[in-house]
Amino acid sequence: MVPVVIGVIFVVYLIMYLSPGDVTATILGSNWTPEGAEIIRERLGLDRSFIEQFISYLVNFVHGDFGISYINSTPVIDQLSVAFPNTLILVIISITLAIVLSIPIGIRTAVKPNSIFSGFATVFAMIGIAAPGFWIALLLVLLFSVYLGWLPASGMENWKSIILPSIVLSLSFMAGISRMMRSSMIESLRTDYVRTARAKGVKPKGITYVHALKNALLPTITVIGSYTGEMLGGAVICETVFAIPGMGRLMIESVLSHDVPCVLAAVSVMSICVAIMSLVADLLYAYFDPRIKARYMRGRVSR
Amino acid sequence: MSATTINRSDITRKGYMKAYRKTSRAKEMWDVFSNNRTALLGLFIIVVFVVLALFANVIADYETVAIKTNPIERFTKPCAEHIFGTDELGRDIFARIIHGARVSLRLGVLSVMVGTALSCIIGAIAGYVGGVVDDLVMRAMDIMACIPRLVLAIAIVAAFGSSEVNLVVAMGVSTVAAMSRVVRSAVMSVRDMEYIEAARALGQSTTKIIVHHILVNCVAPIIVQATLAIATNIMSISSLSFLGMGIAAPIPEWGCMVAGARDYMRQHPYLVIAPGMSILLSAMAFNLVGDGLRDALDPKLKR
Repeated sequence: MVPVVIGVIFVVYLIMYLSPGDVTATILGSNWTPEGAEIIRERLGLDRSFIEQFISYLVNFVHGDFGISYINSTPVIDQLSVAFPNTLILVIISITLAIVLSIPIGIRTAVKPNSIFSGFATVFAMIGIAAPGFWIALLLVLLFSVYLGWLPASGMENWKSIILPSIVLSLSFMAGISRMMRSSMIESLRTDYVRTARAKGVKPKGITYVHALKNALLPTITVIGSYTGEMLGGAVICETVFAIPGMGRLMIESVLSHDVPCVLAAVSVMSICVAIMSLVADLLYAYFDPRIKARYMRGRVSR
Repeated sequence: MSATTINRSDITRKGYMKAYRKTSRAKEMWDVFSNNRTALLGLFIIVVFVVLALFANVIADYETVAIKTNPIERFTKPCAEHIFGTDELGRDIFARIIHGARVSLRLGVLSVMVGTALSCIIGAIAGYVGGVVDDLVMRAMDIMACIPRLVLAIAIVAAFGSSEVNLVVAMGVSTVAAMSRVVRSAVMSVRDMEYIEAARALGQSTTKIIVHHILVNCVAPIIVQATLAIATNIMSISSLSFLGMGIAAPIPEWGCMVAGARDYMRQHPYLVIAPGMSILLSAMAFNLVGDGLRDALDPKLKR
C-alpha cells in the first residue's frame, strides 16, 4: 500500500517534471523578468536536482502540504478540501446506485436467461458500456432539465442536483457489474454444491440467494474494486458537464491554467483513493471467501 | 467436410495434412464467429464506418464541406440534402461525422497498437523471466493501474501538449497497465510447454523464443484485449476532446462536435444526437467483435 502510494506520486511527479513549459512564465505572467524568474525558481526549489525536489515534495505531501497554487497563490490543500467532499459524495452515491441496481439485475438474468427482462438487460448493458458519459449526460439534461424541468442541469446546491450526475456516472458501471454478476452467477448455478442443494430439496430461492449468490459475489467484488478508477475518470467528465466543483473539475481547470501543484495534488489524491479502494476490495474478498483467509492463516502458522 | 474439397495433387500425406489444417482452422473460427449474430452486427458496423472513413473525401470534400463555414445555412434541420442537418457554422454534420470517423478510427487503432506493443514487451519479459523481474514489473504495473486511465491521459496531455502524437502515446500508455497483465498471464501459460523446451534445447536465443514461439501462441487473448481496448480508447479520445484536451475545434472529431453543439442544444437538440450516436455505435461495434473473437478464438475464455 505505502510503496504503491509513493510510486503513484513518483509517476505523476515525473510526468509533470518532464513537461517542457516554463513555470516562472505561468506565475509571473506579463511581469516576467530574468531576475524575478530566478527568485521564483529559488523559492520553489526548482534549482535542486530531481530526486531532492521529489523527496521534499513527498515529505510535504505526507504532512498534508501540497504546495502553493501557481495561479491564485493559496495553498492547494484549501482547494482540495473544498473539492474532495463533492467528488466523494458523487462517487459514493453512484457506486451504491450501481451495486444496488445491477446485482439484482445480474441475478435475475442468470436465473431466467431467456426471459424478456434478460433480453432488455443484455441490450441495456451493450449500450451502457459503449455510451460516452458526456453524451448521456447531455441527453439526460435535455430530457429532465430542459423539457420536463424536473431536475437542475448544473451546480451542487441541493439533493436534486446530485441525481442526474450520479445516474450518468453509475450507468456504464451498472452495465459492467450486472454482466459480471450474470456470468459468475450462471457459473455458480452449474456447480456441484448447487446440484446437491437442489437434490436435498432446498427451495429455488434458497439455492439462488444462499448457495449460489455468495460464491458469485466474489468476482463481482473484484470488478467493483477495479471500477473505482474508471469511476473517478468518469467523475471528471460528469463534474465538467454538470458544473460540480469537485476534484475532476479542479483538475481540468488547473490543467488548462498550467497550475502544476494543483494538477499534481489532484491526480495523486485520486490515485491514492483508487489504491485504497483496491485494498478494501481485497479485504472484502478475503471476508467473503474463507478459503483465502485460511490460506493466509496457514501461511502465518508455518512461518 | 473440408477433406472432400482437397485437390488431388495434395494426395501425399504432408500436403493433405497441410491443406486440411489450413481450411479447417480458419473455417472453424469463422463458423463460431459467424454464428454469433451480435458479433456479426458489430463487424458490419465497423465495416460501414471504415468504408465511410476511406471514401470520406469522395462523399464530401474535407476543405469545402467539412471545414468551411457557411453562415447562410446554419441550423438546418435534418432534411434530404443534409441528412443530419447543419451545425452552428452551417457545416454539414454528416460530412463532419464521416471525416470524424477517420480521426477516431485512426487514433483508436494507432493508440492500441502503441499500447499493445509496449504491453507485449513488458508482459513477455515479466512472464518469461519470472522471479524478481516479474515482481518488480508487476508492482510497477500495479502503480500504473492506480492512476485512473482518463486522468493519466489528461496528465500526460497536460504536461506535453495535445498534439495527435501525444494523444496516441497518452492513450497507449494508459492501456498498458491492464493489457500487460493479459500478456503476462498468456505468456506464463505457454512458457512451460514442451515446444518451448524443445526450442531452448535447439539453442535458440531468448528473444527468438519469445517472439517466434511464445508471443505467436499468445495471439488470441492479445487480439481480444486489443479489440476491446479500441472501443475504450475511441471513447476516451472523444472524452478528452470534449473536455478541450484532445483534438481541437475545426477538426471534425466526434467528442469535439458534441462539445461545440452543447451551447446550442437547447434550441437545436439534433446537433448532439449524430456525433454521440457515432461514438456509441463504433465503441459498441468493437466491443461486440471483441466478445465474438473471444468466443471464436479461445473457447476456454468463453463467458
